[in-house]
Amino acid sequence: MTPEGMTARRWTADVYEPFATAIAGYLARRTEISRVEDLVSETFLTAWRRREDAPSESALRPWLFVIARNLLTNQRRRDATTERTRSLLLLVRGVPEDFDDMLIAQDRNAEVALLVNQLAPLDAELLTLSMWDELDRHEIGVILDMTPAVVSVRLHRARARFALLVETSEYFSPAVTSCGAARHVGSGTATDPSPEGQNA
Amino acid sequence: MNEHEIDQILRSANPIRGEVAPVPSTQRMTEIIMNDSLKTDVERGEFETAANSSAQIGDSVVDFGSAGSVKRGLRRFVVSAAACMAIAGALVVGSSVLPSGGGVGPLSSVVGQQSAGAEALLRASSLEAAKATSEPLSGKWAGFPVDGDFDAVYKWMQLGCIPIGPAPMTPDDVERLAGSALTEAQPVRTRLCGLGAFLDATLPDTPTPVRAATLRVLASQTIGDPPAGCDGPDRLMEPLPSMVIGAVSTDPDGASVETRRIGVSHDGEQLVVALAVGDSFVWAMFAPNQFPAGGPGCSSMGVAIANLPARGDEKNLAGAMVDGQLPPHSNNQEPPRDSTTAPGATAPPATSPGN
Repeated sequence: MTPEGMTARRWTADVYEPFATAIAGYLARRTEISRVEDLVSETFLTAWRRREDAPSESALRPWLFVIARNLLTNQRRRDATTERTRSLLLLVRGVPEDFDDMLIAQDRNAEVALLVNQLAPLDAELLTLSMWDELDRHEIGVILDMTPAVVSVRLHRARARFALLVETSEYFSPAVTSCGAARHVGSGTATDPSPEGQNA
Repeated sequence: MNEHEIDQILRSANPIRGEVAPVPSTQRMTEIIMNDSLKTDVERGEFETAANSSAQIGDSVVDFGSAGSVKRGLRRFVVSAAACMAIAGALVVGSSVLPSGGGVGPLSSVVGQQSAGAEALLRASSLEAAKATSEPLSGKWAGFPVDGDFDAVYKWMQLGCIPIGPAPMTPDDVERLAGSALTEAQPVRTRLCGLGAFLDATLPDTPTPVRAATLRVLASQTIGDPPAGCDGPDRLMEPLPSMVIGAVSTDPDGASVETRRIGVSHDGEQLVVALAVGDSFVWAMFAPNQFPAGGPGCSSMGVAIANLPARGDEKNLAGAMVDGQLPPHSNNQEPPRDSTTAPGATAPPATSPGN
């Protein structure tokens, strides 16, 4: 293999393998699933081209998210179906074990997606980067070009706004508890095999 | 509702995970990176730089089949080989005997369309006409799918071109090519046949290890053990016997082919074969999983070596083959520049990668 080939192979082992899934998840929640593979490729291709500008290992993940986010933005600019893409933003998917749980999870996930999409884009981005992409405030700060302190403040506000939406949601509202929906608030781990759900 | 409850709602929504999204395998990603580097080089005119060779024409060479490497994701090697050929002053016609057209289309799109010229050459009625047609194309890569038309292949040969190693051909095809047509191709300086085709002809339907073992035997019979201390590239500068078949590295199935037989240090994954005919010699590279059928750009590389205008350049081109890069000093050509620094590169702003 050529020296460049060896470098490429080493780079993919060091950079692509550890972060590909995270980037894919980030993209999958923000665009059509059929586009994810190309965008993942493009993200890491860009990172490869810019590897001399790459930050240290500890800052690599948010840097890759920035690339993915920019590519996503570019794609949306080019995309004639922007509205359709937007409507798909933040789709969530349950992986329950049985059919009843699946129905509950689908309802719940759809409601969460709906509520998140009602937030201002920045609030939605802050919450999802924090909760779903599991980035800390420093990393989010890199991605959104904010200081960690600002991230903390805005994240706090975004949670508050999301809480308002939850409280006014018919699904999560105590007023409909008797219908069975609200019992899932804060207790939905039975339908949620994800690590987050299990930890919730 | 406190923050913990909010976070719990969000997390329990079970968002789509990266695991459900298709992502390229690590190997594929590596190939994408490598191919992109190549494409960028070519788009920046690196290939054209290589193509502006002052080398003699002399030989018109048709390289059948190597473009198929494109669809194997090994485009870099092919185009590197094409660049070598350009330096060597050969007319390079990438073609495919596969009805699908093989990888010619993609490759042509990378290095520039020359198909019209290649087709004109094919239609030439005489060697002189062929040479006149080929001269403007000298040092260029031309994509031209033969589409299984072996009459076209013979037409090329009748025009004095050299067919090289068409891996998909049948043994009969190879015999016809190597047996009759090649010997009739008088205007050419060197007569070559890709080793993949040679093995296909002599050992059809033979498992790879047997072929590898055969190759090992051939190597030992023809060149013997390399002289002590001459297992590096310098070995290539040694006087060569009239016919040399050597092998380097190992084959994938563990049937070890003598390493460093000719003296090319490779990555342990590719088999490198050298053929020598008279004063010219050929290397062929074989990717392990493609061993019996030739390798990425193997015959192209062979052509590059075979068409060297002077032996003094052999080492440089050998280095080019080893590195997969253009030689730094051959015919005053520059090696491909780093894809991130070449003029005209549209690097994204430092603060906004990806934009």
